[in-house]
Amino acid sequence: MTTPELALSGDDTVRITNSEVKSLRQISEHLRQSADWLEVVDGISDVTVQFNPLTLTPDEAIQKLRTSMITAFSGETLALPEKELFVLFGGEDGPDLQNVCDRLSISESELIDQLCSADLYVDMMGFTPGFAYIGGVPEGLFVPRLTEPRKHVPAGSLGLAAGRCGTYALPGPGGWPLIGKVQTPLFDAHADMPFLIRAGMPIRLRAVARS
Amino acid sequence: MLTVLKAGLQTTIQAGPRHGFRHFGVPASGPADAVSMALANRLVGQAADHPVIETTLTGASFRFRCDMQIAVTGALADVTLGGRHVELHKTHFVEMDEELVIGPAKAGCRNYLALSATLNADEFLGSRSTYLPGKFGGRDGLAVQDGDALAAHDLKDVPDEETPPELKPFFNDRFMLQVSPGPDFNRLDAASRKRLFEDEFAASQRASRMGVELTGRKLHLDGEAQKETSAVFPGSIQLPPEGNPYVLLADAQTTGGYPHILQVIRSDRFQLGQIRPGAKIRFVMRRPEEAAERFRSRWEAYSDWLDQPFI
Repeated sequence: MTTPELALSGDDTVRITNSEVKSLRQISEHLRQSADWLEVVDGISDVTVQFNPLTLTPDEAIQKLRTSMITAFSGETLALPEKELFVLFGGEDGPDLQNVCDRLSISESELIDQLCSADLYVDMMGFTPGFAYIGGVPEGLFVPRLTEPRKHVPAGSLGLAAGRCGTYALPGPGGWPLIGKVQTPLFDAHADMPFLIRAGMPIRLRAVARS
Repeated sequence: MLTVLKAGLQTTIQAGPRHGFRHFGVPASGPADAVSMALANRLVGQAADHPVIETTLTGASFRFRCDMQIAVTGALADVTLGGRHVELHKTHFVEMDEELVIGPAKAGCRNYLALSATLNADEFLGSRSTYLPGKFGGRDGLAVQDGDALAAHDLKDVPDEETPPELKPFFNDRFMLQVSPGPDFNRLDAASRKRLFEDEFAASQRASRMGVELTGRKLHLDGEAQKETSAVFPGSIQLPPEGNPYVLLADAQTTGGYPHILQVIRSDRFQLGQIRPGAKIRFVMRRPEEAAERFRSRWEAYSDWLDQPFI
């Protein structure tokens, strides 16, 4: 892989950039296992690490990150296991499925087949709590966001927009066309890991038949 | 244990920030002005991140249902207890049925009411702070309403205290914010980079716990505005296409796609919660090493009085 670049961003964060996104996700997994960093936040093509200026100067933070990244790649790989998400497509659970298919001029079953056979991958989470940007969507399935965002999107909703799938772990507003609902709970406040999926995780969608 | 008579513009329960979940898209929340919250808690014998009531611009009023000790800090405002004027930054004894009125902020934006008891508040992902857009934390994730009864437990007796004068923040609606360059600072055109440190900006009406828009002469990029979504934090200053800098506060979203031009340094971030619409803002550039030094010395100034870092 190419060497990641490090640059201070503001006074208490360092941004790590690299052309290989999967390497970045591995770096962030590794950094989160250490207590040295306040936050390690994935962007689409970077990772930003926040440090505590009471314990590290900016120079020390950069030095420490360089060392950590060397161990990140000499040690075992932290590839996350693939997560299967069982999805009810269409109907009340995916009110925009029909519109999306009309726009793409394909049938609902073709769209579902294409999504379920794609090797999907969580690029990052963000913007709203628990929202996952999932890449790896076949190129032909590009649809724009809704012109008018919904005020309320139920938890578990699966969206498709701008070449990605998106999952809403928590209810809230949202502007992605909704094509289905993930039946596996994406969030459990009382679990050790409250969010089921995270950046860097391979995803496999499985269509659930309507009873 | 206290009833909300008038909740005012926006009153929420805030406590320590929600740390360690930004990579799941969960914002920090917590007090918009962390220093004022920590100082209020100190006066009633509580830890810096103990749940408090944060009021906005208009103030708020409460009736106490039992004897208790309280302290109010933050924006410059008239505070009355049972009709008599009481000072900010002091421990006060409230008798059962007495009314506390936090008047409109005369300078600054937010006040903090701390109690010698523990407010009941929902814990979500390790913090009791309210995050309104996600409807979690605090009181069912909502702003406090007129008539709400706020319960509290673990009432204790605490000694009367006053914040040492040198530690009291002073707000006069003019801010000189220290900033370090953000990752996209060099994408500003030369004129805009200069303008940022010559001009005075004004906070617009677009102001919330998520962020405050600043207006003045518009800023421009040298080239394309397109960029990939990256992490942003409280204190990040973004430049949306209309050219007005937008500074992020405690409820900042975790990632953003607008150019991130500046970062308000850690030692000054608490001040952002006191910016009201119309407040005047100037920027001064600090190298990151210098910024870290200033943060350490600010913390040292407070460390004899407060027992834990709070910003």
